[in-house]
Amino acid sequence: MPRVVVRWSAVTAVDPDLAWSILSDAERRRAERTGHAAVRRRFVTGRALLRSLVAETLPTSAVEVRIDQEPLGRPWLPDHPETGVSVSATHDRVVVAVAVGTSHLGVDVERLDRPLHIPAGRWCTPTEVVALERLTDRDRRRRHLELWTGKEAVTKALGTGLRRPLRDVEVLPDTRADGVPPGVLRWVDAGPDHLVAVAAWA
Amino acid sequence: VNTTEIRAIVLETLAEVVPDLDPAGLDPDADLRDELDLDSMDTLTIVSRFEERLAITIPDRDVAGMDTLDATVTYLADRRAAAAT
Repeated sequence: MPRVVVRWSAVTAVDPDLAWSILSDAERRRAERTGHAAVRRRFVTGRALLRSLVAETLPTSAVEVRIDQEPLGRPWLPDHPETGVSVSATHDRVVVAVAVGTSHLGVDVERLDRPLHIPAGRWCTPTEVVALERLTDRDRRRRHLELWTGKEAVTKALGTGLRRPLRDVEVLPDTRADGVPPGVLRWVDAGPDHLVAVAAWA
Repeated sequence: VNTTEIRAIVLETLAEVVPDLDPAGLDPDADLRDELDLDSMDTLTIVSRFEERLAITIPDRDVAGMDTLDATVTYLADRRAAAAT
C-alpha cells in the first residue's frame, strides 16, 4: 500500500472562522449554497483539514493549494494529480487523507455503534453474507461496519461512487473487485468510537 | 398503488431515517441528500425499504437519480407500474 497520511477531528474541535479563512472562493460559494447548517459546517471543516494536511505533505500552502471536484464529487488536486486526497465525515467527525504517488485513494469513517438496517444481501457478496452469518452478534456488528466502510473506501478510490454497486466489491477475506488489486484496504480506529477504512493502491 | 400513496410511503420512510423530518417543510425539488443530511448508508437504507414496501427492485445505478422528493416519487411510480405489468 502506498504511504497514506490520515487525520481526523471532531467537527466542533475546529474553529469555524479559522477554517473559513483558508478556503478558496469556490469552496465558500459551495458552502453558502448548502442549506443545511450541519452539512455546511462539516464541508468547511473537512476542506480546511484537508488543506492543512496537503500543506504538510506537498510543497504548497493550505490557502494556495487548488482543490477541484470531479463530476461524481471526488476531490482532487489539479496541480498535483499524482497525489490522492479523500474526505469522509460522520455527523460529528471528519476524516481526511492524502496519498503521495497515487490518485487511487478512498477513506470512509463510521461510528462503531451505528446500527445498520440494510439487508446484507442488498450490499454484500454471497461469500460475505455467509461469513457474516457465522459470527456472534457482537462480532457481526463490527464486521458489518468493516465491510461497509471498506466497500465505501474502495468505491471512493475508484471514483465511481454508488454507481459501482457495493455488492460488486468483495472486501473480505480480501478485496476483490474489477480493476482493484488485492491487499489495498486497512482499517484504523479513530478514537474509541469510530472506525476508518483506507483503500489505496498505486 | 397511486402516486399519492407512493408519496406517503416515501415521506413515511424518510421520517424513519430522519427523525426530525418536517414533511410539510420539505421542498419537493430540493436535493434530499443535502436537505436532510443523508449519507450513503441512509440512502441505501431508504432504498431498501422502498424495495420492500413496494415489492420492486431498484438497481444501484438508479439511486443517484432519486435526488429530490418529486424525482423519487416519479421513479418509484414508474418502477411500480413496470413491476405490476
